[in-house]
Amino acid sequence: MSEEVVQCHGVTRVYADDAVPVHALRGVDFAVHKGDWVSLAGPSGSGKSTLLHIIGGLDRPNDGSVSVDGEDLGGLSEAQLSDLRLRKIGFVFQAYNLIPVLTAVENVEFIMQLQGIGASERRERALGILDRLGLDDIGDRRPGELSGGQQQRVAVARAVVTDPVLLLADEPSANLDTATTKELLELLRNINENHGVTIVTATHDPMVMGYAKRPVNLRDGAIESDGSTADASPDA
Amino acid sequence: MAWRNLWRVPRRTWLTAGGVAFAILFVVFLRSMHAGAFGAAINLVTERMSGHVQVQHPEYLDDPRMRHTVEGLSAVTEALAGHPDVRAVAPRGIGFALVSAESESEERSFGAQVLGIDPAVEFATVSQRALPGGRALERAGEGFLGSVLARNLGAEVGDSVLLLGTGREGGVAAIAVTLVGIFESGVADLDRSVMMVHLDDFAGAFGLEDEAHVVAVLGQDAADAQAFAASIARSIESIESVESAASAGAARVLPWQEIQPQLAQLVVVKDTIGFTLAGMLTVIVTFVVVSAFVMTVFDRTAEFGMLKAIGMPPAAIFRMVQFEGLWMSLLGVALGLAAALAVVSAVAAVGVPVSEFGDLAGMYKRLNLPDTLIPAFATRDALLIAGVMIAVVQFAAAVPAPRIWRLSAVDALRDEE
Repeated sequence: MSEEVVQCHGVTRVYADDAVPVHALRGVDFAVHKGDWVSLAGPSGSGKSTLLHIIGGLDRPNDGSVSVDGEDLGGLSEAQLSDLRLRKIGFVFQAYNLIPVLTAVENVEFIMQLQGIGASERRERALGILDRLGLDDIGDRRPGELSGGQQQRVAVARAVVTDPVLLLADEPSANLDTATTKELLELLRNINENHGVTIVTATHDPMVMGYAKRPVNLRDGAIESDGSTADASPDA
Repeated sequence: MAWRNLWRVPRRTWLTAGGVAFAILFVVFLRSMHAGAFGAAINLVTERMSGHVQVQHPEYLDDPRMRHTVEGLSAVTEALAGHPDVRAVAPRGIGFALVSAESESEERSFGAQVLGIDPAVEFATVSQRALPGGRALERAGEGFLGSVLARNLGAEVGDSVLLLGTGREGGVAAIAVTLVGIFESGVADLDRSVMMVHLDDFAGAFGLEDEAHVVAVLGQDAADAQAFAASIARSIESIESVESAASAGAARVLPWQEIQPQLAQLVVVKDTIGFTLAGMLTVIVTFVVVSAFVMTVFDRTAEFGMLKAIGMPPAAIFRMVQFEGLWMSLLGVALGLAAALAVVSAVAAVGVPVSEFGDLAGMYKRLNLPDTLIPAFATRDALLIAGVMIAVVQFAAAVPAPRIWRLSAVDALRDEE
């Protein structure tokens, strides 16, 4: 059996902000193996984004345990979680979330700057990843000068430039048209297959689920199905 | 990055930096006018009369008796002359006498203040006052008379002038001198009531030995008089020969503010008004800048959420916002100081008629100062307000910090979606 990058045991998340508690996750057991591309799917409120956030250390479960690359997230402080995200996890967001005042190459460099990598090495690696992802011609442009697809590809470059053990993408295609989504998914497939980056996406988009190696369907905070692309619910 | 972040919303940046710049311009211009107006008066009073500090008998200021003198004068003046910040040391004897002039026409007498000075060491502005007649006092046996007093006495250069007063021990003090010059200080009270003689003549007549009533001392700057007085006091305390006298309280050092309390009080009142206005303006600017930074952090909630998500610690985000504040304040400070320098220079080039200011006009007239006010760039105040503004902006940038710490990356990102 291949190495497990993510392990979730009995993960429960209850939002108690309102008068009626909302059970976002109900004792989820789940694992992601190295080199996998897992697509968490399901209708709104199914718990897929919550699970993604908990795996990424952005949220904490009320019960159960989560470990990433062998580190139990439950035992980490906020600062340690922040450091773990910086070193081991790459994020791609629905709204791209590039820093608008930085150019594409500077956005890619920024995360390495947080890691304390020297300026020349940062620039070299940023230009290298942009080149590999076919973005070398837009390195000096700011996000406002890029299309949505270009911005999302730069966001992917930013997420993988530090060689994370895990790439988390939350609705990465939500703001993209079909052609651009396809380009993005090809890019993610390239990263997954040729660079061995483990990917977990949370999505409504059947196209994304189609690209994933392992679709996982959630409903009402529990895993409904976990298997091959063929098992994925087509209307999820 | 912090600098670039400033220009996300240029209008907000310009407004905020403009507020800082305006505060600096207002305060520096106000203080420069103040420094120009009162600086001239203070310089005139200290450089031409009192000195920046005076060494006196402890009781002389409140009770200027003939016997209240500074003893061990030679040692005191020698010690003060060696002080690195001292420009001039002028021992003076001060008494009152009936002054009579023997002219060819008639003999008249008037009461006058007699000032015994040593022309060799006296402030140039005291011993070389504007001379409508004769020459300055140079040696013993000579007299130097205020122009109004000379006119009242009917005295002319070359006349004999007789002074009759009461000596230190109660005996008659009498001096006969030859009038060598008539001075015109421009200060009517002085011209009407002062006669100067050589300190040796004064000491001989009034019964002083190695002593004087005041030792006026000029330092480098009237604004530093308090510290200068403390430094001079230490110099005097270190004189062995007068140590016992000093320890017995026989000499004290007074800054000009205590010798000229009315002028000092006027400066305090103006300072209070100036600092109150500056304080009010600072509070207003603080509110403006705090609002700007609260809006900045609010606008960038999603971005800060993303930064936290990718692993940027809250403290690093906080530092980034503080740097933005630093750039903002430096921009405002640079604009404000440049504007203040330009405005003060422009006003200084043409001057402001003193007649525009009621109280000040009266003071300028009494002291015979020019009728045009020239502002003096208030460097110290400019640096002070610049520092205050930088601190204000840093404070303002820190106000929304708790929001950065509390911010949930998940909520911030969800809100944007």
